[in-house]
Amino acid sequence: MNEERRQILEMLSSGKITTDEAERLLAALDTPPATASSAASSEPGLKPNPKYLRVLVEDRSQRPGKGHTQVNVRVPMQLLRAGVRLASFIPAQAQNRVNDALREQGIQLDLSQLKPENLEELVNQISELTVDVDDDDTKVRVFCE
Amino acid sequence: MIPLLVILGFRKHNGRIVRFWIPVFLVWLLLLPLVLVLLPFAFIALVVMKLNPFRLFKAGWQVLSGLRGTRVEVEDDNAFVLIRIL
Repeated sequence: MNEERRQILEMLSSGKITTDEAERLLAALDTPPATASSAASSEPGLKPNPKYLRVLVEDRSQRPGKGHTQVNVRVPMQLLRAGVRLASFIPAQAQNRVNDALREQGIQLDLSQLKPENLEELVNQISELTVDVDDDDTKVRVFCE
Repeated sequence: MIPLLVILGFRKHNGRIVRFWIPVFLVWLLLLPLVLVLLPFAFIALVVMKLNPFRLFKAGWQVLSGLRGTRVEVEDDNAFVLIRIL
C-alpha cells in the first residue's frame, strides 16, 4: 500500500472524509495522469481545434451531358492561416482594388484589417459551424474537422 | 514540413482510374541549386520593393508547409480528378 492510499484510509478512519469521497480519491489515484491536450479534448463542450475545412458538393441533377457530380475538397486550416499572412504582403493599391470588388458584391471586408490573430478567432468560431444546403438536385456541406 | 508526395489521379477513357504518386521531395532537391542561385536576386528585388524578405520567405514557407493534407476530388460521369498532397 503506498503513502497516498494510507493517508486516504487514515482520513476515512478519522472521519475527515466520507466513504464516497474516499472512493473517489482512490479511483483518482488509479487513473493515470492525463496530458493537458487530452484533458481538454475529453472535457465536454471543448472541441479540439479543427485541422481541415471540408467542402462537399453533390449534384444529382440529370442534365443532358452532365451526370452525377461530386466535389470533395479538404483544405488544411494551416494553409488558410498562412494565406492570411501572405495577404499582408499584397500592395496597398491591389488591396484597394480587391476591397472595391468585394464591396461591389456586397461584402464589406477590408483586407488590410485581416490579421492572423483575427483568423485564429474566426477559426475557433467556425469549428462549431456547419453549412448544410440540401435541395432536390444539389447538396452542399461545409464544415470543419 | 513541406509536402513530400503528391498523388494525382484521373479516369482514363476506358473508365479505369489511374493514380500517379509523385515524390516531390526529389523536385525540391532538384530545385535547391536553382533556389540558392536565385535567392540573392530575390532578396535584392524585395528590398528594392520595400518588402521584408525574411517575413516574405517565412510566409511563403508556411504556405508551402500548409499545403500538406490538401485534397481535391472532383468526379462526374465523364471525368475524375484527384489531387492529394501529403
